[in-house]
Amino acid sequence: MKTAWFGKRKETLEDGVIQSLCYLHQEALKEDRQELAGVIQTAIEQTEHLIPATVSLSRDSKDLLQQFLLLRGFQALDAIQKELFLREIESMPNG
Amino acid sequence: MIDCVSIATVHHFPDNLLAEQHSLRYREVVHKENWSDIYVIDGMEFDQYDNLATEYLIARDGQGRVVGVTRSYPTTIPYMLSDVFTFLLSSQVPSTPRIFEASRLVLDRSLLTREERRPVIDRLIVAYMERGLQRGIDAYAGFMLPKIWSSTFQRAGWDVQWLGPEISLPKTNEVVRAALMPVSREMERKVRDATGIHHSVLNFGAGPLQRNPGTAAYSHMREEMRQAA
Repeated sequence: MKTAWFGKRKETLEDGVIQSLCYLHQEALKEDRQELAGVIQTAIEQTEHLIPATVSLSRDSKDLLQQFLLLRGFQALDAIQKELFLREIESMPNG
Repeated sequence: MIDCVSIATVHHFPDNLLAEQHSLRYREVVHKENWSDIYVIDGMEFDQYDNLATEYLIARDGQGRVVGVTRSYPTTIPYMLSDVFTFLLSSQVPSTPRIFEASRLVLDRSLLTREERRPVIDRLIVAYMERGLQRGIDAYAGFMLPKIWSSTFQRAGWDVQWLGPEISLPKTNEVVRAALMPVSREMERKVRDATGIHHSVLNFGAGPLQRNPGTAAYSHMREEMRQAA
């Protein structure tokens, strides 16, 4: 019983850490604080490695993590690719 | 032909193809395979990746009955591999408009004999390639049993790139492997040569010949990306 309670508490803690870091990453980018965003990015990546595969993250964390992944991928692109990327995520039904 | 259907285009086709593919999936994966932890309603199987962003490739027989289905889903919003199966990936989780997730490759094993299944799989795989090229994507990502990889995509000439080792799923102990399926003209040639299908297989029903929807994204992401650019 004690183990289950501890496990749940630890899972909640891990979920909270990921959520907070992803949120901070977004805020740092919004404020154009690239260096800080880079530090937080590293922290998120290291935290991801520490979280066991069995941990099921909350919907909010999954959403924030997905946005982090998208932003990280986006930042690695050159200017032309970035413009293309932005166009691609827009809904452009041509039917 | 393979019908390319989404919630936005289902009215271009006779019958309710989306409901029929959900029924097929129920018959095959719930009734025969006993999958658990998935949603069902009225004899149809579905999950959270069946929504506006999903595109289905549907095979029908000469009588119009749905005999095969598979689906694609964007990796720009949470998807099956990123949501539940990240432990299958040795490298970064793909998240880009240029990679879609491929999943739920299901055939009607009651209507199709063993000999009839292969041509249906081949057409579905060629449809994946054709649609991928139309949408300008670089690859699909997905996971399945190694023996299914070899009897479907690999047999059809598609050179898959492994995204991780073979891993046993925690609940079922089934061994699966994640892979990337590159989409390119060169790969198309290989797939068409291996399957012998050199004509277009996609059908968009009574609607426009080809409809290229945008990629699903979070509503606020464009602004954030502008900032990040």
